Amino acid sequence: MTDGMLKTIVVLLGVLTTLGIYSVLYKENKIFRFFEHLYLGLAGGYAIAANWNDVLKTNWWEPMVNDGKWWLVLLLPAGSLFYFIYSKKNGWMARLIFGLFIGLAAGQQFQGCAGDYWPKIQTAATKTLWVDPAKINQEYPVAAYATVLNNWLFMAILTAVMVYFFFSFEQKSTGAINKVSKFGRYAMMIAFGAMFGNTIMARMALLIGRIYFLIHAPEAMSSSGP
Amino acid sequence: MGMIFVGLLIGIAILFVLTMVPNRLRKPLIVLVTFLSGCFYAVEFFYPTHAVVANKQDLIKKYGVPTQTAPDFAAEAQKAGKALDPEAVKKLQELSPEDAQLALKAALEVTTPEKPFGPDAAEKLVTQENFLTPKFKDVSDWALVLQAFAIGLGIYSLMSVHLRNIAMKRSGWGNSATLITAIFLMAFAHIGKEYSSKGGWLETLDNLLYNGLMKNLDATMFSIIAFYIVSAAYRAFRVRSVEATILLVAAALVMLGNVPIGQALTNWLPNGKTDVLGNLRLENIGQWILKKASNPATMAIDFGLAVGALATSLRLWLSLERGSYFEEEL
Amino acid sequence: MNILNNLDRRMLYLLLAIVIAIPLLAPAVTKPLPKPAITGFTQSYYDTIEKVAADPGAKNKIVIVSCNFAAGTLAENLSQCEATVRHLMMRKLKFAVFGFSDPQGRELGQQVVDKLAKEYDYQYGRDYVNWGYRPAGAAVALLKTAVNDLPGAMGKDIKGMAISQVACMQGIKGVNDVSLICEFAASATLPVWIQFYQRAGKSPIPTLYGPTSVMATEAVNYVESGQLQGMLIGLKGASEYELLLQKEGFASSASASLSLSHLLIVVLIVLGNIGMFVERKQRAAAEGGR
Repeated sequence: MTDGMLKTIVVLLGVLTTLGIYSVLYKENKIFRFFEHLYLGLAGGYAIAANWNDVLKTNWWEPMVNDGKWWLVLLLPAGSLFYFIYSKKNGWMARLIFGLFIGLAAGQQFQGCAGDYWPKIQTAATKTLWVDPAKINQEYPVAAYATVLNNWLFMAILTAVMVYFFFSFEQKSTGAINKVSKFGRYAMMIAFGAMFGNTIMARMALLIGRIYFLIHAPEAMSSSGP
Repeated sequence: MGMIFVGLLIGIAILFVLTMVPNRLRKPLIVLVTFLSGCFYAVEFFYPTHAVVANKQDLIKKYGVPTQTAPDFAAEAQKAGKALDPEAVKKLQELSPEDAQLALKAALEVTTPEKPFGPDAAEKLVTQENFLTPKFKDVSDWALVLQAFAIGLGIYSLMSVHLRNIAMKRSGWGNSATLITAIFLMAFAHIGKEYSSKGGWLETLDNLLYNGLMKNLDATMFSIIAFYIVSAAYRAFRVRSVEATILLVAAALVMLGNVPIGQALTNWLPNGKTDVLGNLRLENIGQWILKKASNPATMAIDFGLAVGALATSLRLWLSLERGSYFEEEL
Repeated sequence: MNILNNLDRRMLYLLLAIVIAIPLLAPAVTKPLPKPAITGFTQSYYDTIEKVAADPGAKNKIVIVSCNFAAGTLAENLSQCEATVRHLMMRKLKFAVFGFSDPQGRELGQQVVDKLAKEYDYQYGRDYVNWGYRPAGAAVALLKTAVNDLPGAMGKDIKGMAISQVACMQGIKGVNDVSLICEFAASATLPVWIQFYQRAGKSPIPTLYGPTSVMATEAVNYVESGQLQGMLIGLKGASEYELLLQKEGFASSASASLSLSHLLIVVLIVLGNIGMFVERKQRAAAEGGR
């Protein structure tokens, strides 16, 4: 098979699968179900292959067989512990390996929290809350005041949302806390709105990608090179 | 090969012994494994570190195994006819005698009349470690392999459901057969191409299966949500309360600020760096919402999550977590 | 108003497809639209790579191009990745493709490099390397090892060669030899870099982020706290970046479709709400009349 032919077939398969999946938009049908199963199967096979090619072959099989690190074979029974989850009698053994990874992840969490949140706490704690007359840009004095105003807003929202969370269990909250937490709830709505706005963009982008592919399929088939 | 076989037998024997562990000891054993594995990174993080020479194994390979005596920096430098900065030497003298010897050799090698050995260069030769840090590589190698073995868990579940469909000829069993065939075919092609010659038929098959089918199926499957979101936006996104209104207004402003057509709506406003009105352009409002209004809210949510994650981690590590999985009789 | 409320969903689907297809089929229609405004996130992303390229020390270091996405988010992540790799190639920076979230990442990253390699004369081994895929469950353990021993932790590349033997990896020992981290993600993989790698060396490694736009809102605080030096917000970020690089690609062509589809959604939300208000009014009137 020539490269050009292969490329044409690859693009044709792409068009076929794309239209096949989109057929569900009209109504539920057998073609969609077929492609759906095909997708799951291919993804599963790909994951197996990638784990063999990139991890098991290079980090386990080759060092064990070629470099004399025979003790690596012990990882096979250790890894097989995962599969005891399907055993009725010895299902508990799977918990040993799950426990091992739960423990590792829990131990990493201390550094994780410090690495992730310390710089954020520092940022929040060092916000400028007063206008420094020396730093006012004479050409655009509004900027200095706007920054300070934004910083006050930042602190207000940060506090309010935290109050909303930390007092969410409190039934007899005082009026002031209720008001603060209500403001926190509104602020969260702005955040969720922003998330929604960006989510729309993400979804549209993916669809544009597919429609672009369909429209440009004929040229993709005829173009040479990889 | 012989030793591998012996190793495998040992492993199987350990598994067999584990199957005989009495019920009352099972939970303590799991708790112990979880606790000890948690200790590894936790202790490594909190335990004080000390200075050691960086890339010690490479240096030993290069210069041989060092002796236990502390080197005389000044004398060695003089012997080699090279000058070392006293500040830099001070840094290297903090190392153990063994490490200091290796560092000195490395320092003398990199020093030239044009490139004198200063504190910056010394910094590169030194790293911070404690007694657990050198074990990282073993743990990471084992974790990688064990995680790769775990990939079969999902595949096993998928296969068992679909093999049952085929065996019992349930409706849609043909699709199940497609799924099973696809798993084997993709795995075969993708692994096989690694072992076959470049440009062989296995590479072609892999190309057809991945680039022709899987890549497009994956991309299309995810893109379909766009259609549903349009329908949902039209039918469900209603201004029914103050909260919903705030959410909708923020979403609309961010959306319009994100795209050129939204920007075109407020293009008539000035856009200079010192134009106050420029802040009212839709793209700037969108950015303001992201940076100044939504950012502190997400940060506060994050802080809440962090406290939760830390607490949960502690409970899991110390096996204090409650729930059906953790409290089940073993 | 009944028409609005009983509109067939398939009509909406068709409308969306048409709205997206028009600018792609006839780009002239949307010519009057302005070019996307460059946001601070994108500008600082661009500036960071320029800064790294201008640093003479970075010549002996490596950039990590972390491809943690699959074909599912191709339109967003691949565009970001392609523009970034192009920028790295323009500035002759050595880089390593890597992925630990989805195995497709390392293959898609390689496809991006293959597409551009000829144009910028990039050769495997000499100018870049592909470390391959590693399972997410062991990613933290791997990166913690890679702090002091990067080649040892990564082991072998996709061609089965020891990473310490690859030409562009010579002199790369650990975290202090990494000049930049570029993370393209479709799931929460950024924290692994931030928490365990970025600040593990003598000075923090500049980190750039290309998330799907779904995840961008939550990542803004990393930019504000200085943990991220720049971010491309989804496809829009990629289109701004292409504009800065003056190399327009898919993201730029998609910009008009993105515009129209967003407008459609806003219009539909407004119509939906008008429908609701009218219906409420009619109901109130009917109940009042009774």
